[in-house]
Amino acid sequence: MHYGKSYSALLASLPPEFQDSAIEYRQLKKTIKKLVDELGSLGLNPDVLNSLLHTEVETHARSLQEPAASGSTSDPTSPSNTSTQLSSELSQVVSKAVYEFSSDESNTLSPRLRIWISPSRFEEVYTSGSSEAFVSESQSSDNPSDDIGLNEEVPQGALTKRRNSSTSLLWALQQHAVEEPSGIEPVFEEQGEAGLDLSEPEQLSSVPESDSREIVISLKADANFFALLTNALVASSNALRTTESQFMDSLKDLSVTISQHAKPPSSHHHPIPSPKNIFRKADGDLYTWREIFTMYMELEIFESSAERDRGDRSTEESEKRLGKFAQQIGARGMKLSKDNRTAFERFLELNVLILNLRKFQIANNEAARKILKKHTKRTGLPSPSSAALVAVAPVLNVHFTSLPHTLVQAMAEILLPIIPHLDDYECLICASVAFKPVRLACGHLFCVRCLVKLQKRGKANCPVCRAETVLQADRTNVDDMLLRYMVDWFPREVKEKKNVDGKEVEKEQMEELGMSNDCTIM
Amino acid sequence: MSLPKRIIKETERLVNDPAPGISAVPHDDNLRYFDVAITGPEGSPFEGGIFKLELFLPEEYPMSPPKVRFLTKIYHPNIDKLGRICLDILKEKWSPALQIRTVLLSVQALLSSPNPDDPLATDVAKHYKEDEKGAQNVSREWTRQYAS
Repeated sequence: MHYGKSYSALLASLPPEFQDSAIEYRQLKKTIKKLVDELGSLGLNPDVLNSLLHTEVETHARSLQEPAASGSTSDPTSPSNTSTQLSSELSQVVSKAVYEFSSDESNTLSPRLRIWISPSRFEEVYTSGSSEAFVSESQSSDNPSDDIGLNEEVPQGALTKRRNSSTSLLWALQQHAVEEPSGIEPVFEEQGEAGLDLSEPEQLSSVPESDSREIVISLKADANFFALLTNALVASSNALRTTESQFMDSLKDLSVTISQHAKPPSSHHHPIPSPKNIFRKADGDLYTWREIFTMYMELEIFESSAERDRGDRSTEESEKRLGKFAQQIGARGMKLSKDNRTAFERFLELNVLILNLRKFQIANNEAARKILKKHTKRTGLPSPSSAALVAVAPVLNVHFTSLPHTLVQAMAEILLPIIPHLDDYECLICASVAFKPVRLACGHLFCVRCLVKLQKRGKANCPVCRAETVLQADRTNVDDMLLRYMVDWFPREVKEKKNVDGKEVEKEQMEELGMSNDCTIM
Repeated sequence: MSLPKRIIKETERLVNDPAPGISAVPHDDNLRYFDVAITGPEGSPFEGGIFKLELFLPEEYPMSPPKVRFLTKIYHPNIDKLGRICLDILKEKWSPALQIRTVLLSVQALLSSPNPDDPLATDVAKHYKEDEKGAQNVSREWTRQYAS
């Protein structure tokens, strides 16, 4: 029930740029109150409205979408019409009621009620009396039951006399229909029978009637409500847009910084390294960053790639994992130089930003959903589809709903590849770095050791594509460029691989000589 | 004899990120020997069953294929009474680029699409060729009886 409180608490934990553009839940709540008062003053309490507008939400949502969309392009004034089946006794008087939006070139939603009444039947019904659903404060003195505004015994004449003080909508409508248009609040626009020609409901045709009146009521408080809401939505997408570009700049900048730190010491890109460089730089920074990035990727902080739970993680889970990541790095006792520490902190900040962004989006969407639900519940007016809102605020497109994902991806595409990942340079057969790398005629790459084994066994087909390229491979198939690259970027793995291979070769040679280690004791 | 890096990596992934419907757990005392369980694929006569297999990685692995055998009795044209499997990638079509995971996925796929033209259990294959519905019913019955 205290959603407003928890919402503002959550917002308070987010950076100010998000706070400022968030939906103002409390403000909107107040506006709903005003709207309820406005409707109430017309005698349209939620129950009345509900029965007047009783309609399938689905059909309503669909019809709302179209005019709002077209409104911004060609025909800004055309409102949407939804036929509404009346379910109460009121149907005898009010033949039709519609809650609709018209949007103008300024892209604001103007909600209004369009009501058709039959004055002659009004008299029939309400002078003989059968309605229960009216509110009329002015009559409460004569009439003990407050919610029955037009009581069975009240004669027509008495009603007419009270026209100025009455605030009942139907009371007002009746006046309006029977007499000349007078200063009744809110503004009515009389449209006469003409407005009915196209959409005359079947109901009317069964009872021939020529004096139907169409009345359009602009709902001021409701317009305020939607203006507030759409403004907030527009503001939040602007904030997201700014956040995105800041994130990208920051990410690129950080990428440059880290790649400068982590550049391999024995870089072959600079053929003659100065002695100073050789002594100053070890491969420490490279491996530090590789470890950081590997840990980061393995934790899959925002999105899981596992078979079981592929997809986005919850914000709670992401937060937990991000915390774990920072903690693990701390626990490793990594020796980060001052520059590296600053870079690492910036890296963490970018991740916190993604997390906050997701929290903000979830909270904002939830607030919008809740406030629209409240709007419907308090007023009895059906809520417009989100599509209608999007049409008013075109900035709310798909791009922004998937923004966190976009940023996570940018991280994976721009920052992380700065440090080449071992997985991409592995021999498929031995799962170690593919050193020395041999590229077969079919293009597939293996380490020389595994390739020799294949050849010794007379296997002719490439393990990946089965092309007959294995036996033809020789010294010329060694990929020299890649070899140097591996020495640069994976110096430790290359050293280890050489070591392991050397031992294996030694063992094989012994075995071939009939001196397997296993039986030397004999 | 220490375990090759390749086997360690494969095992890690099998345990941490298992393929749907497949589990493979190495024995503590022999890390080359795996207890495997495959769930019968949906829509196949083996649906609802859990089939146990054993998988062994020979010294030569991955130069030679793993040895895989059904432990659960199964009525399938390409699997014989001893649980031996007729699957080309376990024999002449083996490639060292294949893995435990891919092998087990192939076995799972074999349950979905039996191939009676390349039989191992000739009587079952004959049954499948002459009366597929009837043979599938036997497979279903065996699944209920032995694999649940």
